[in-house]
Amino acid sequence: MKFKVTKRGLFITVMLAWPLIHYLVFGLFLQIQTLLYSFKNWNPYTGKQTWVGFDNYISAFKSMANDGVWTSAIKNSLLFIPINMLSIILSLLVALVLYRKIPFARFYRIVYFFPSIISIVVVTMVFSFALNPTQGIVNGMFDLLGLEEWKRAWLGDTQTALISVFVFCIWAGIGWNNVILTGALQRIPTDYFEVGKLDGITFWNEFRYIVLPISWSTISTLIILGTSGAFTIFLQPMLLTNGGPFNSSTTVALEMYRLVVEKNSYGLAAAYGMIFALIGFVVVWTVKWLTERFETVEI
Amino acid sequence: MFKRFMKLSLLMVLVFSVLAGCAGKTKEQEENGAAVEETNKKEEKVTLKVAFFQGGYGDAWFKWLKQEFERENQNVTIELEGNPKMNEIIQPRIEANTNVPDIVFVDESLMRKWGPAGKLVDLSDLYETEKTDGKTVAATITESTNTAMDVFGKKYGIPLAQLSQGVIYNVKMFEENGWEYPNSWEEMELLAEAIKAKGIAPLTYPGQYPYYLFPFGHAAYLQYGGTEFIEKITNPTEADIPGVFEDPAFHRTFTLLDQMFKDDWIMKGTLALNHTESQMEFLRGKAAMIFNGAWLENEMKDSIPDGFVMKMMPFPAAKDAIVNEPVIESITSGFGGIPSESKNIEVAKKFLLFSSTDEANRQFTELTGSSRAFIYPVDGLNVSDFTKSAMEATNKYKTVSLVFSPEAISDSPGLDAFGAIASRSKTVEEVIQANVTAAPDKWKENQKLINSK
Repeated sequence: MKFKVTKRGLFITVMLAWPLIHYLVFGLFLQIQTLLYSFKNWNPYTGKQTWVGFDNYISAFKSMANDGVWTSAIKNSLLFIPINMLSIILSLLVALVLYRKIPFARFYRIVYFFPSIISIVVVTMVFSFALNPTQGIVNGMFDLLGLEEWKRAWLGDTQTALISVFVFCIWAGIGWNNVILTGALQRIPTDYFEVGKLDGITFWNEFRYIVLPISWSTISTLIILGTSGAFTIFLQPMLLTNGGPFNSSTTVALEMYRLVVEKNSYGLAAAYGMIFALIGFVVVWTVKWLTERFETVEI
Repeated sequence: MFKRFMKLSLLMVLVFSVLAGCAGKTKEQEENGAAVEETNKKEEKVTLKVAFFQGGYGDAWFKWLKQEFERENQNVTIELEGNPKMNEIIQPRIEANTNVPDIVFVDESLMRKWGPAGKLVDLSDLYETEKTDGKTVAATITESTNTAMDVFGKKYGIPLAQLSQGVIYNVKMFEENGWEYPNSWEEMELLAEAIKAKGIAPLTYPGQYPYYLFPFGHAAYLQYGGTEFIEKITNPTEADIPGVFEDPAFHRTFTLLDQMFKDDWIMKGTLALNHTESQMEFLRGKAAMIFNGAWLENEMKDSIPDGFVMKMMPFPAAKDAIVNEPVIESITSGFGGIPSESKNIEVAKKFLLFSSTDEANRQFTELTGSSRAFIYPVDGLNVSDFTKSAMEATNKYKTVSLVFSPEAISDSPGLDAFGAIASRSKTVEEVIQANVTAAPDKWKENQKLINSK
């Protein structure tokens, strides 16, 4: 069989080449390089790389078991999975409420979406201003309500720093999920709701028998993204608390970032990267398997 | 027809953009190559490329250097390339030998990385060469700067700036209340109580970043452990591990820190604050003093209230101190070096010497409000009182700076000691225990790393 070079063929090849090359360089190549780095040490004084076998993995597992920084980081990163799920549930609730055509529904949708279009640096700044221990609106409100004993340095207290980061992630994440879920809800034919109404269906049953089965494919996608996203969160804690106080709000991705940027430990960071990629893969696959237990209704 | 036309034109645009990109590069490369050849042939017209980190010091000083150096050396043209991200973007360029400048002014950690790797010209001789003002570099730097610039017995750069970090206090508040900056830690304790009695917090610092507590810690290491102790932690031998980490000096330092938090010297909520937020609290008079550095005034220049006066001071010592005098931390920051790939090494050396003369150093201070890492006269300089106070403190009092040798495993190998104490997560004993336990393994790992070839 002979391939004839046509203009159309050339055009398609060129068009496909870009994403393919991009994937090969920034996807595949970097992954392979990370894998290779994880078996190497980088001498910061000579710039030489040496093969060290599983040394990096051994020190990684050692510190995952003993080092307070890593135990805290792993715990916090895993906690982000249920937090992301909570964010999806809340987004679904918001989407359902706004779908009911309440007054100013569009306005609220935009307001919820705001944190997604503003730079994360600005959003975290606004959030930390609100939680500022001396001038923040949150402590100010407690003052006004006479609840002075509730006031605290939200981002500077080992008891509340992580919770504050969680609240931020939920608050900032609702808008994005909401837009996607609203799209899914709008795909549901209105007849279904009308028939339901004629039958006197309750809100809960409508949700269970109409909304959930039809929009399940969207929801399950969000669940999988939320699970895998938990392992990559680092900007939010870095900008809000810098992982502190004393590692109480750090995450695995933030610690890996620090290994590279602050300590130049490329090998160790790469080993952690491989370990968490593996753990993440297992966790995400399990969640994917679970979401597939529920069937999506095709319309 | 229209569709076909659109497809065709799209393809053309794509193909041409790719080709144009290639063509542009080749042409540029050719031009560069030609320029190098030309300079080699005639040895008169030289273009010196100077790449620098354009951070807090801006670019005014480099522009001044360009102007003055070009005036004195008519055959030289200086090309300045300043970038706030220079520390990152210069790394692949130096490491892959592409688009290498003749001089770099970047972070000093890169000097320690590139020097032994053969990416920088050895400037050890340059330290003994006379500058145009008749002095040598070696004779005009402090001992701590000299140690800071040493990389395995060689010098790969000349120091750029010097950052002093100590206690900055609100001068007006002190005057109004009749307080004086203490000379001893015992007086500091009395002062803190007096400030607290007024309903003001004695101290604050950027609590999100425990390293703002380091200058206090480093000064205390010197005060309660002496110079041998500093030498032991920055340049330890195997015999020192892990014993050095339970030295009484660590105990004393961490206990003093612990006490400050226990006695409410530190403003409530400080741990939640980043640098600007905590500095704002200080400027608003919510705290009388702040642990901070010489850059504070420049960093907050838009927010300093009218008539606000501040001054930098060292950390006073307690009665039981071995080095019983106030100490301030002075860190050498940034370096100027010549990449080995430079085609104009001799001119570049001349430029580095030129940039280190008394006149250039004075210009640096006037234009950036910061101190050059050299000893030079500062009288008559048009700088703020705060900058003067910071420079005076560095000149007048004992200075400390921890420059760790490659073998060293930091002053706290087990955990973030300062963060642990500040957040009330660990007691002093627990911190010391954690360091003693972690040290042997860290030592082994580090020796293995630095000895890998």
